[in-house]
Amino acid sequence: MSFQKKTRSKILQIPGTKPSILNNTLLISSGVPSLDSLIGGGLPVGSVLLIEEDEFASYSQLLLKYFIAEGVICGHHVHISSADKTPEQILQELPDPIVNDPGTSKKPTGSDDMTIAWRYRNLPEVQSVPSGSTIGHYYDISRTMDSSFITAGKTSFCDISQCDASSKSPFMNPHYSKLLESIHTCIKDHSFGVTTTQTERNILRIGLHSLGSPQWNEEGWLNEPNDPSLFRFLYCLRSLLRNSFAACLLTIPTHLYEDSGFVGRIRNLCDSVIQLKAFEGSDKEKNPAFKEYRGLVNCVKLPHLNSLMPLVPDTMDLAFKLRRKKFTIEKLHLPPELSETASRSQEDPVLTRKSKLDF
Amino acid sequence: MFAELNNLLGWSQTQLPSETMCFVRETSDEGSLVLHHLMSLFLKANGGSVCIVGLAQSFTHYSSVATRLSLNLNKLKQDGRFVFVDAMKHIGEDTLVKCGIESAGGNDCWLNYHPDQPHSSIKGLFWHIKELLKNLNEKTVVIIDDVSILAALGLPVQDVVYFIEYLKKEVMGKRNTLAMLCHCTEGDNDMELLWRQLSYHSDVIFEVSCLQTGLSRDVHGEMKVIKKDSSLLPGKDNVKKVQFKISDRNVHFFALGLSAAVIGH
Repeated sequence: MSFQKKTRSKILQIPGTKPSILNNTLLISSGVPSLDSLIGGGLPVGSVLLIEEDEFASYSQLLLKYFIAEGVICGHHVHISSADKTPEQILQELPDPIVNDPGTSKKPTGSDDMTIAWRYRNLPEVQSVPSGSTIGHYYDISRTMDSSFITAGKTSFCDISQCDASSKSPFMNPHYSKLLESIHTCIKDHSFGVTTTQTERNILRIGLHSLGSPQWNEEGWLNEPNDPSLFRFLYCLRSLLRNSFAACLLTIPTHLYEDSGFVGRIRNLCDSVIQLKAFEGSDKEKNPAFKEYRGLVNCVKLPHLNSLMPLVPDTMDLAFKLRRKKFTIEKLHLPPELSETASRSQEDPVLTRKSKLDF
Repeated sequence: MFAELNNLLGWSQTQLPSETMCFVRETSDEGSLVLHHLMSLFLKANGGSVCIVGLAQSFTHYSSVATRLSLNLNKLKQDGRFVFVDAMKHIGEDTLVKCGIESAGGNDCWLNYHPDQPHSSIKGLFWHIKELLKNLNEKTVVIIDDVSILAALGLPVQDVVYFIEYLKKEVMGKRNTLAMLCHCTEGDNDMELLWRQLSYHSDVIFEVSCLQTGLSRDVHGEMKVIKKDSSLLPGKDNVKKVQFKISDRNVHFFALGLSAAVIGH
């Protein structure tokens, strides 16, 4: 009898994933490191993340592109579907990855140096750089991803606008059933199921753009007041994902639905729900308190898988910032008080000073 | 098993609830803690067994939670004390068949959505559970994790209520316990109707909601326990309100406003 070295064969090694410390799930990055830290380190494989769209759907679409770009960079299989755009178009518009690691880049000092409260200079920024994370990249949205990356990536599409809606099934809206079929075929053809024996495991990322928008013919398909097609689709999607190495990010324009109960059911059928509320077009856009931010983030539901304990964020007052190379979700801070008087007015201190000279 | 919840309800490993219908109404996401409690209570008791109808989660989820409560579900499954009905997987496969994506296999159809056949909607699932219950002994709890999913999938509320009524009769006939969870958001009229109907049939009602004053790291939510007991005076005795904090392996219950963070321990 001889001693044998214990091999760590049970731990799965898939690029772009990390095991969760809290529960035995595998995590992948959503493409935005600060969003990852908000939902507990990353998106658990086998779960569905719902992004409730902002009014103009610009930021939710950006999040979807980050999610897909992250998949392309990590070599995951990417499955894209949309009814409003062609999936190829989404793929063409992916942002360019910034190659150097976000963790190693030093914070620039100099112009950004603090003149008061310098004691806090060395404190890490709130949530912007999660510690210990090995997954996730930053992207430059002013440039598009090199086409060699995209052609090398494993991608598949389901273009809903090309779907023939004439085959009327009483069970489900044909758009959803077509999408379901494409996801099911993708899982089966590339053996993403947990029961299949596969030597080289990979992850399937499913990105669904504007699910349930008017293009999906949501209203009145079955001539019923409450068409359950979307719920049946979401439930079947969850059932498929739980049994395969796949994760899904979908955006839904929930603000288009009148019925709050309808939205509540959608939320209940997804594992995590993040709502974006952009300031564009609202009064808050001009409010100096929100000058640094582009919108608010409402954390409706966090993943509650394989554990007794729910994830509790430090705060629910979250906002997002968008810079050219960074999309960050941060704790909402009010800007520093610059005026001499202690009372805070809702007007911008800089603007009011100008207006005095302006007559 | 959470000792503090047992104290609240007068349950223990030797005194299991019998012939009781427990109903969890949740508006937050933490209602499942009551189901986890019942699962561990029955499995830790001598000779108790559990049947979970998993509509919302897969087996892995319950198994991971049970591990934290020092139970091995795989082993208990082999011993015949734990039965898991993977309804989510089954209904998911059923959906694929109905959409014409997969060819019909050996699976029998559990849900029948056609409204022209009255009261037949959930027959398949009901017969399946009934068949399983034959093998289970007296001290059994049947747990349905998220009834609201059945209604969300497009089944009429009345049919879901009929399903529960039949199941109740079946389970109570053997002096066993039935527990179920129903998730609801404000403004969902159908779900609220389901809530009221199921509350009417239940003996113990747990209302789990978020903390009204907002997010807190020390209090995860509030729970109102309503016990329908004819021996108690109506009002004060049978309605209890507590707050709770969930930790990794346990849940602490305390009176309103008396969390450890407030009284400074």
